Amino acid sequence: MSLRMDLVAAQLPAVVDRYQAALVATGAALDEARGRLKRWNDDLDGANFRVEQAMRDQAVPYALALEEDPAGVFAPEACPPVTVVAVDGSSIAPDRFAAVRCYAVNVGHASLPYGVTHEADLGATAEVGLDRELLDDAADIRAAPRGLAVRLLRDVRELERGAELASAAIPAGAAVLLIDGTLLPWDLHTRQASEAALAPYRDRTFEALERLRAGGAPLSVGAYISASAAREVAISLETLGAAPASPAPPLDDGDVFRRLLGDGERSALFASRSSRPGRVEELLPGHEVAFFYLRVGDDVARVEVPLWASAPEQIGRLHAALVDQCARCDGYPRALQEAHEQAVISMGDRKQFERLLELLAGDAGLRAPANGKERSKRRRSL
Amino acid sequence: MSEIARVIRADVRSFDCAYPRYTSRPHALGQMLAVREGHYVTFGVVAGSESGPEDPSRPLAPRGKPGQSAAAVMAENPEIAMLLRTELTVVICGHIDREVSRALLPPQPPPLLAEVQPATDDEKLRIGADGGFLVPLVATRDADDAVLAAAIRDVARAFGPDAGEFTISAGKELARLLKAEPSRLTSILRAVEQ
Repeated sequence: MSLRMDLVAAQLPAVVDRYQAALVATGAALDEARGRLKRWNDDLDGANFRVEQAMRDQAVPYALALEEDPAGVFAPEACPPVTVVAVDGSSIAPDRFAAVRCYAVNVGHASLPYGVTHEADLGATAEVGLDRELLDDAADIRAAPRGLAVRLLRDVRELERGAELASAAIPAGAAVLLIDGTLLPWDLHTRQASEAALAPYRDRTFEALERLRAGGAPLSVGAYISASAAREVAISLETLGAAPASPAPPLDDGDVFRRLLGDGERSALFASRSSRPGRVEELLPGHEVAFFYLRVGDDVARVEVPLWASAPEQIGRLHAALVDQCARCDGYPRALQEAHEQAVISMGDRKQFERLLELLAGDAGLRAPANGKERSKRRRSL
Repeated sequence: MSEIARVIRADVRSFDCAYPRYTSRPHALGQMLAVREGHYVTFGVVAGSESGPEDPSRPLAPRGKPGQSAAAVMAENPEIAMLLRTELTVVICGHIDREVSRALLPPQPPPLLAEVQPATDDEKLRIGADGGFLVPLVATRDADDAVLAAAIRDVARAFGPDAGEFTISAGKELARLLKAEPSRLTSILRAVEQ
């Protein structure tokens, strides 16, 4: 049975009405949030201290102001000569109904020189393996949600590949590395696998970050999250004033900065903080995350950077390159788009991978354990 | 031309070949090409040339500022050239089997992914000598009047000072093949002279 459109259509008008009502309530909350953002700069250290005190026992992440005015708005500079490197990954999680539980990770990259002498490059690297090789402990792989370990490997490989390509680009001049999604692999702090099983991924992430740090001032690094729903600044703002008189839907950072920023402008740089025990930053000492927001058209993107790559020259170059890249690709960085195109594993590729694996397993005399539900779902016969 | 085209589809009458990337200077229409792999050396004439996105679901947007050259737009957008391809359609017109030249279709198609290179002047003389290479070309709809005229001009150049003599014999062969289509013959011969 498909979706009952008759029932859905009858309910949708009320949903739209409720959303409109929420927007009205959000307007007042936004005004209040903007006032608090402006007052934050009156006593930067004092406000930061109050935020930290309020969040001491909270597990949710929050933001602290760095040196820039939290309500500050920064226009982009002209993009300097630069090589923009981007990486993105795609993966096939092991099929638990298959005879051989095998994963595939495909990491796409784009290395695009603009005004510097460096060879343009688009491509991908792929690797496959057994699911039991992903986490050392057999108990871990059983406990971990399907796909977690592959996702972790993919995130680590993206960072490694990015570090490799960015390092290769630096001798030609300044470089900007763009990563799709968060800067650090958040699955590193999962509680669904043992510390020992996660340690190799943590170590590889650390090494990749160190390699990037060695790039020094000529390298800018940014992890780009389009239409981010993060709430770190909004949460900090909530701690900097009395509770609102009328309850309003919680704001996210995109709500806060959408009205503040014009097209191409960025927000101030904030430090990302959390009191959560075992958070990823604790696992990677010396690699704290900072972030700013960038408005591109109607989109408010979150851009995460390593704190060690937040010198004005590095942020200015990153900001300028992102605006230039987005202008080349309808509001999304061109290099990330091309890296994605290289990484994507189509449905056809997935089927081909599945068939090849089945063929090789069959040749080796391996058969998948019989599973009624899977067989029935595949056949769907009457 | 540093990039080498390779066969990506083949039958005994024609094959398609592609360059690894886009090129603004592919082998010319009517140019005789050779595939020197497989059981035979296969010869064909370029009957079509097409450049565009490798992925048809990603059409090429008309980027560039007013007055900017194609080369400048490509340089400003370094990913574009890597996402474009140039393909040629080649109509087969002869082959060499153990040193014997024949202006006939080969018994087998050229191997897929074989390199496609320009035919040498010596090869053009061997395949084109009596105009017999025109027979397979006239027999296919892929080779239109423009292709036939360009192919005669290309082979004629290989004859050097004897080009005129070759052109007359090729014209006679063409007259024999197109005796039922005098107006077509006239338009091809006019195109050969230009």
